[in-house]
Amino acid sequence: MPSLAWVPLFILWLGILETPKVVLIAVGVFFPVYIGVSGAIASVDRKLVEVGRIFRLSRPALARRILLPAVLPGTVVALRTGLGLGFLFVVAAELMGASEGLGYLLVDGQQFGKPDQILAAILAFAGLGKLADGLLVLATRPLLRWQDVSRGVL
Amino acid sequence: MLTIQDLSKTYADGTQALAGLTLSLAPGEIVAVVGGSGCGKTTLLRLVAGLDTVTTGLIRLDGATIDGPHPGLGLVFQEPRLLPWLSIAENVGFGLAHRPAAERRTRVARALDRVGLTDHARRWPRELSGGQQQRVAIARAFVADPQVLLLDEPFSALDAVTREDLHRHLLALWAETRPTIVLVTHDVAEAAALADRVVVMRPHPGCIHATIAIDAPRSGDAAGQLRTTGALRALLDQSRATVTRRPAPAL
Repeated sequence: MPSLAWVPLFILWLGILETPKVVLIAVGVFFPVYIGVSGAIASVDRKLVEVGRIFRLSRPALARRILLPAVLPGTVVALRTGLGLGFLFVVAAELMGASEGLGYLLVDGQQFGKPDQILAAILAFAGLGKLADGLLVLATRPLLRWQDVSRGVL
Repeated sequence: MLTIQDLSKTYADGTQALAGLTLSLAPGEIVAVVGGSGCGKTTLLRLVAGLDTVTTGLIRLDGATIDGPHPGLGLVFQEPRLLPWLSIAENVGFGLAHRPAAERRTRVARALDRVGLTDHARRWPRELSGGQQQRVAIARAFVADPQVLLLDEPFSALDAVTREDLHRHLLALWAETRPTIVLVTHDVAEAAALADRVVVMRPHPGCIHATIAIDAPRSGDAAGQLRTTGALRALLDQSRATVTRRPAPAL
């Protein structure tokens, strides 16, 4: 179900204040992140789990010491995707009914022929999006130093 | 004392991997298990390690029945299976989480020293070669002080030079605590060089074909080892010839 389809309903029920925007982002972002994380969990290498079993780890210990670190890279990707989607939903929510915010500036710029305002809003979105993504990457990088990937080369 | 009585394993799809296998191992003994693919040697190891469930039969360690992973049993897999998010030292100490930190550090340091990887203690697994990673895996298994150490073709992915190097490291670790070792290998020369006894298995269904006791184990007697290797090869050929094939399923 396309999450954007919820927008008119949220505006109807919750009005055009901050609450519906937050709810919309939460609903819209939840499913892709959930799919990403459960995909990561399903593809945890059975070989590593067996190492945990050989050392007789309890189920909570297995989850904490093997599952969690193993799904961290996949989770970070899912979160970054979710973050991007979140911004998308902000724009959608504000396009459809807002009296303030960057999305509102987009609509207002269109209605009153202010292309410079539109472009400024777009740039602001890009900047904020890049900043948010960058912060997420920065925060999670120390947790992923161990990865055996060719990040630098590619 | 590890006793395996009349062990059988049939998988859900009907394949009988093991049939009526009986084997006893004395403390400190090194037993090699050789056989072609499909003879059930990996199944045997996984059953003893407690990773798979037995269909019929009994496994006992000093009288206690083994029906799942047991602190007295360690396992080294064919691949190193190091946890990529832990340093080498943390990997080696993985099974010692419940021991006091100081004891863990000492044991890890000593094990790393035995396998010659002290300088790599803080590195990531991805920074080590295959042979080095396997050394870490062996150190990890030994450091938990098992009574029985099971090794599933641990050196098959390595070149001959590295393999001999690792034989030395394995024996160095073994000499300290003298656990019983069960070494599954397809390399008969390796079996002849390391073991006290070699068990030859045959497939369809997996069972013991013959056993050879080594006269002077690990003595470095090259001629003697060559003779044993030859005898083992002959037994393997013989085991393949006497295989009773199951009738093909009706189409």
